[in-house]
Amino acid sequence: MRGQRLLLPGVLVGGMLLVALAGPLLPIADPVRQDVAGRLTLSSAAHWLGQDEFGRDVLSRLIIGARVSLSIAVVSTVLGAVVGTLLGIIGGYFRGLAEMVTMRTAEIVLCFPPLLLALLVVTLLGPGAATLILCLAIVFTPAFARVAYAATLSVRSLDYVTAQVALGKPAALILWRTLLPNIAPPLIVQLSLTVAAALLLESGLSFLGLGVVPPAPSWGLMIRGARTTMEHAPLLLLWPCLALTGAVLALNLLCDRLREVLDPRGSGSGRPGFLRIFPTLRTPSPNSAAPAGLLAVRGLTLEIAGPHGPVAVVRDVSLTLAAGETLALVGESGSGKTLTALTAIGLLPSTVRVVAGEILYTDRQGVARDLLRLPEKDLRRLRGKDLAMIFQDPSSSLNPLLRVGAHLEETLRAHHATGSLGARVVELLRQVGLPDPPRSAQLYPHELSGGQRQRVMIAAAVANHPRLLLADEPTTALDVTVQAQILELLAGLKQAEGGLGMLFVTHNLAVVARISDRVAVMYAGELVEEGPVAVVFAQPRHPYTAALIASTPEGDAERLTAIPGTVPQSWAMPPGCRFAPRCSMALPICDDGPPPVAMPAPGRSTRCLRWKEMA
Amino acid sequence: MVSFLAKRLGFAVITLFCVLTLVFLLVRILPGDPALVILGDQASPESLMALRQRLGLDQPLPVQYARFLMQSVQGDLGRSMISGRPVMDEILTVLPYTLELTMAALLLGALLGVPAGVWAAVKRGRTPDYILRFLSLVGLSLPAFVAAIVLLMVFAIQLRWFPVISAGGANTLAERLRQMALPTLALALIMMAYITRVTRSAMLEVLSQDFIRTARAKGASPSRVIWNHALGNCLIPITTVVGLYLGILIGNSVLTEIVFSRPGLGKLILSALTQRDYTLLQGMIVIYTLMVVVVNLLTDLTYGFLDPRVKYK
Ligand code: SF4
Repeated sequence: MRGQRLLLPGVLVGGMLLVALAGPLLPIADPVRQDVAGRLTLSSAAHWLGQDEFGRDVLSRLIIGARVSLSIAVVSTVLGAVVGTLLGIIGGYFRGLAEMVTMRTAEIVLCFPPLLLALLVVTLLGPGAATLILCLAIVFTPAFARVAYAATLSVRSLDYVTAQVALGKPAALILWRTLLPNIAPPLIVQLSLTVAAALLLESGLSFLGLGVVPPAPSWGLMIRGARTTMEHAPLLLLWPCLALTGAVLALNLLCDRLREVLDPRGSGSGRPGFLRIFPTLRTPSPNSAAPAGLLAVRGLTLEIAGPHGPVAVVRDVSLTLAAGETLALVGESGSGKTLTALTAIGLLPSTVRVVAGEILYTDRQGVARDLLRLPEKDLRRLRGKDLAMIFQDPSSSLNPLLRVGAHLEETLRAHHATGSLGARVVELLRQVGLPDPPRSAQLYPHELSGGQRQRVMIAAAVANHPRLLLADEPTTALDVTVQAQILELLAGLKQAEGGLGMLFVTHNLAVVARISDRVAVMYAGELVEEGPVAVVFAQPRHPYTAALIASTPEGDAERLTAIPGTVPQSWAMPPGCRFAPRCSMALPICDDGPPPVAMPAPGRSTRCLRWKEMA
Repeated sequence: MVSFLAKRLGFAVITLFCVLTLVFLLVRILPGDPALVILGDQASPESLMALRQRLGLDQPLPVQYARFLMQSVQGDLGRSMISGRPVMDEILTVLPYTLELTMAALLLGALLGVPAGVWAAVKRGRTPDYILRFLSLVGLSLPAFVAAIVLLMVFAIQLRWFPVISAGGANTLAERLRQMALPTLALALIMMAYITRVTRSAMLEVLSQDFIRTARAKGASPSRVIWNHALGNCLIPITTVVGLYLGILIGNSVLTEIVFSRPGLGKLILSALTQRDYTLLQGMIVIYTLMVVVVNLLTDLTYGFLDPRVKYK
C-alpha cells in the first residue's frame, strides 16, 4: 500500500530517463544546427519552444541536454557510490587502520565545499564530460563512504554476523550475504539524493562555462546562453530553468518517498506524538448517580486499529477510588492497566481511542465532572493541579535541558503561581528528600541518580497539592533498595496530604501488599477481580489472581511458577472468558460467553463462573 | 572540555595541513609553466628564467614545499601572479562581501525556516504541512543560480524594484540593503528549505518522547510544550544541519555573486581560474577550507551551549 507513494515520482523519474535515453531516436531537430535568420524567434510549428540566440531548436536542445546532464549525473553517482560504498564497508568492517584511513580521508574531502572541489579539478584537467564525471565522483564518494560505514558498523554488531565471524566464514562472503541487504536501504536513498545533487553541480559548472563544452547542449549551458539575452527573450531562460528544477524536484521527491516507505515515522497525520489531544466523547453521559468517592470509572472501553478493524484493548472496566484511599491496578504488561490510568488524565497515546464509558471525578467543590467529556481546556486546568501523574521511567520523562528547579517551577506556573518560586521549590525538594535542596534545584536531570530523578517527578506531581495521584509503575525502573525508599516516600506523602487518593499501577504484587488498601486485577483488557488487598491475597476469587499470587517470587521461592501460556492478542480474543486458554479450572461453559461480574462479598467482585469453587 | 577542544583543533590542523599539501601538489603537477602563463608566448628565455627565480620555481620541490608551508602558517599566501598584490590582501578586500551575504542568508533562512518547520510538524498531515513540505522540496531542488536568475529577472529586470547589478558603491544603508536583498533571498530560500525540513522531522521525533507527556501532565500550555520543551530539544539537529549546509552555502554564494555581479570571493575565484592565477587560487582554497573548518569547530562548541549533557569527552 505504501509502495503506491512511489508511483508518482517513479513515473516522473522513469519518464525523464526514458526521454533522455530515446533522445537521438526522437523525430526532433538537430540540436546544434544554427539558423541565424531564426534567432530568438518564439514558438512555431517547426520549433515548438522557439529558437535560441543562434537559432537552434530549444526543444531538441532540452531533450539532448537532458541526455547529457543526466548521463553525467548518473555515471558519476554510480562511480562515487561503488567506490564510496566499498571504502565505507572496508572501513566499517575491518576497523583499525582501514577505518582510520578511509574515514579520515572522507572527512577531509568533506571539508572542501563541493563546488570548489569541482572548480579546482575542472581547472586542472580542463572542461569536458569525462572531467566532470571524475570530479563529481570524487565529490560524492565520501558521502557514500559515510553511509556505508555507519550501516556496516551497526550490522556488524548484530548477533548473527558475530556468529558467522566466529564460525570462520570468509569475510567477503559475510559481507556479501549479510551486509549488503542490510545497508541497501540507506544507500538507495543516498543514490537518488546524489543524482539530484550531481545534476545541480553539473548545471552550476556548465553555467560557469566550466562544464559541458559547447556546442553540445546541457541545461546549465542553455541557462548561461539565455542569460545574455534575458531582457529580450525571457522565455528562453524559463525552459531550461524549469527542466532543471523539475528534474531535481522529481529526484528529490523520489528520495523523500523512498525514505517514507523505508521509515514511515515522519508520515501519518493528526497532531504528532504526545501533542495529541484526544477527542472528548460525543455520546451523552450515561447519567448514572453521582459517585460516593473521589473517582469512579464506569464501563470504560478503549480501542486501537487492528489488522481487521478496531479491537478493544480495554473493555468495560469499572473502578472506584475514595479520597485518601490507594487502589493498586495489577496485571501483566498488555493488560490495559496503564491505558486505564492514562485515560483519566487525558494523555492516551495517539493510536488509542476512547469508545465508551465515563470517568467521574469529584472536584474540590464537590461537583462531579466526567473527564471523558471535559473539553481539553478544562482538563488542562485539572492536570498538574487536581490530577497528577508519575511515570515509569524517570530518565526519559524529564526534559534533559531543564534544571530540576525549572521542572518544579513549570508545574507551579502552569497553575497561576507568580513571583519568585525559589523558596517553594526548595521546600518541595526537601519534602521529597533530595539532598541539599538549594543545590539540587540547580542540577540537570542527568546529574541525578534514577531514584533522585523519580523524587523530582514526585515533587513536581505533588507541587499543587493534587487530590488524585496516578502512579504508573513508579518503581519498576529502579533497583530494589531505591524502590523501597520511593514507596516509603509515597506513603509518607499520602499521610501529609490528607485525602489524597492514589491509583497505583504495577505488575509487582509485593509492592501492592505494601502500599495499597484495595487491589484491582486486570487481564487482557478486562477487570477480573477487585477487593481489599488482605482479603484478595488471602482468598483470591479468580484463577488468574491465584496464579499471579503463586508466581510471585516473594516468600517461598520454590513456589515460583510462571503462568503457562501468553496473553491472547487483542484481535484474537477468546469468545468467552478471556483467561480460559490458560485457566486450570476452565470448563466448556467458560467458552460460551463473557462471564458476568459476580459479587462474592460486599466490596468484592470477580469475573469468573467458578469463583465459589475456589478454596 | 579542554581535551575535546584539543582533539577537534588537532583534527582541524591536520585537515588544513592535508589541504595545503594537496593544493601544493596539484598546482605543481599542472600542465603548463606558470612563468610562461604570466609572461606569454613571446617572452624571452632570460625574462622567463628571472621570473621563475623570483617565484621560487627554480628550487627543488621539497624546498618549495617547506617554504610554502612556512609562509602559509604565518598567514602569507604569496602574491597574485597577475596583479602582484599579496593574496591575503586580495582576499581580505572582498571577504566581507561574501561573509555579509552568507550570514544574512543564514539568518533569514533560520528565522523563516525554524517556525515553518515547527508549524509543519504540529500540523502534520494537514494542509499547512503539505504546502510547507512541497515548498521546502522545491526550495532544495532549486539550483542556486536558477533561484538567483529568476529573482533577478522578475524583481530587477521586469519589475525594476531592485538594482540589476549589486556591485558596491552604495552610500546609504538603505541602498546597501536594496543591493543585498535579492542575492540574500536567493541563498536564503535554499537555506530555509533545509532548515524547515530538519526542524519538522526533529520536532516529530521529539514530540513523541516521554518528557513531552510529562510536560502535558503538569498542565503546561500547548505553546509552552511546543516552543520550549520540543523546540529546545530540536536545536542540536538543527545546528548540525546549519553547520553542514554552511559549507554548501559558501559554495552557492560563488554562483549567486556571479549572477548578481557582486564583489566577493566568487568573482575572485572565477577570475583566478580563468586567468590561471595559481597562487591566488591556492590561497583561496586554503581560505575556503579554513572557513569550513572553523564553522565545524563552532558547530561542535554550540552543542555544549544547547545541551548540558554534552561533556566534550
Ligand atoms: S470463567 Fe472459567 S475459564 Fe474463566 S477464569 Fe473462571 S474457571 Fe477459568
